[in-house]
Amino acid sequence: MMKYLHKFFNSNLIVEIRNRINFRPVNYLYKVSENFIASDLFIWRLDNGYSTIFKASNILEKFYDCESYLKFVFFDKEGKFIKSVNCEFRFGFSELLIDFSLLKREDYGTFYVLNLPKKPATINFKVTNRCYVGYGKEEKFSMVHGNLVGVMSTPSPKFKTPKNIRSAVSARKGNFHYYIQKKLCCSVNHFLLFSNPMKRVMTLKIQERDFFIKPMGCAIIEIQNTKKPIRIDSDFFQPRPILESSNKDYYDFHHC
Amino acid sequence: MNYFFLIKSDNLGSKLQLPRYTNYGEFHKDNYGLFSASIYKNRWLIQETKSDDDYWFEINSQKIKDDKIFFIASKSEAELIHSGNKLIDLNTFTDSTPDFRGNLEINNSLGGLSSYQAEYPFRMTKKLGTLYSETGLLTHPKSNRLGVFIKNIYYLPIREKRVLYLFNSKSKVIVEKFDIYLNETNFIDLTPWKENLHHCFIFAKDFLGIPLYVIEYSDGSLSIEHTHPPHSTIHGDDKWKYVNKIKNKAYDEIFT
Repeated sequence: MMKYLHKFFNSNLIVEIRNRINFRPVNYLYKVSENFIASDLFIWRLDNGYSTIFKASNILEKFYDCESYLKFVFFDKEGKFIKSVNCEFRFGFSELLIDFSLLKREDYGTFYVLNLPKKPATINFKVTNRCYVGYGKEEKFSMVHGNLVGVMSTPSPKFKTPKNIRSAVSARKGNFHYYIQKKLCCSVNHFLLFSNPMKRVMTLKIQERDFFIKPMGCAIIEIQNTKKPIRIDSDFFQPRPILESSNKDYYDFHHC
Repeated sequence: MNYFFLIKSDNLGSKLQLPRYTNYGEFHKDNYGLFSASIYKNRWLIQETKSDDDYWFEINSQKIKDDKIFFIASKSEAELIHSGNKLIDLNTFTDSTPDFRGNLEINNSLGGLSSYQAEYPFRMTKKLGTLYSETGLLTHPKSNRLGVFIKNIYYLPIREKRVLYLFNSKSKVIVEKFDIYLNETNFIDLTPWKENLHHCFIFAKDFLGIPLYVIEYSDGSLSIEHTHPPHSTIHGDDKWKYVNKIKNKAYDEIFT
């Protein structure tokens, strides 16, 4: 009986209602999902001379003995679909260089990466393959691991973009804030990188400026240097960015 | 509660910056300060570290002689570690969702620097598990030098030796063995194998730690980031079954 109640309480419809009325809200929707492959909504950079490298381990093969591949789906900064790319693993490892030859633009945007089975499987997968992204110039990359699980899909080999994809995070609105835990000062330029994995616009307020990020889009926001903590206000429950700290001599991408 | 640390090698120094506030904006209690703990003759020695900034504690590896760890607490809480001669979960100041972030910045004499969001959860200090980390995810064959810092913090003041294996899962051979120690910041230089790390992993029994991969490029620029532990990529009631499968397979490949 308890098992069925638990299943009912965590069903998509009831979770939607819980989040709307703010009763025991669920922030990470994959945690109540039975069968999923999830991905961060990563940011790619081809602006300002940057290229992006992506690295992943074959989680489906290593944990579940399931032959699999990687499906990359790219969007521009406004959240408009650009293209999708499939990549194979070699000896349990895969990497993709995201450069001008791949996306034909000098800009920035988002992408997600799904570790999908090659054949239909009977296993219930529950995978958040967090992966690693590097940003750099002349193949000198500053590496960061995944920051926030953003989207998910049912793990089917017949994945059709973007019909099979849904948010892995709650879109419930609220007055949320996050304090950057690093001092953003000195002779360095600081930029905050946000992506929006929800199906609604994300709002942000930073240093008295308002920003709006479209679904599947992203923003790179320059910060005015200060020796005081920086507060981010948002209607999204976890407005935690990646930070770029750079000057003419170096660039440093990390979590903050 | 989290503990924090610095890292140092023959050509790298580091700076640790810890906010006096949580990422939801709450400052620590008035009587809290920054303390260090170090091991001397099998005793935890505690020392208060002065820091003048209103918002951050800052420590530089150049000013630290021993392999010290750091924590935020009151004087009476800190003394419990000395009197009990073991690390303790002293307070909840650094317990938050999302995680509390300290900023560990590495640097070299060429002006390169890179940051990583450093924290060592107390719950890890109580365990002697199995370390497994794939070496290709955060390294780059075009680097000048690369390696991995493996930080362990164990709750008892001991420096027992363990053996770390670098294993090539393609050729199925042990590439190299290294001595590593509890309660130390161990550094493994991986430069000699930089072309083949895509197929390798590091493995140690009865040892947990955070593997921090460092890349140094020819112009001095740096990258530092940690790999995720295997259990963070899958979910569900049976996830430890799958995690143990990977670790047991690694063990069998190395020792049989």
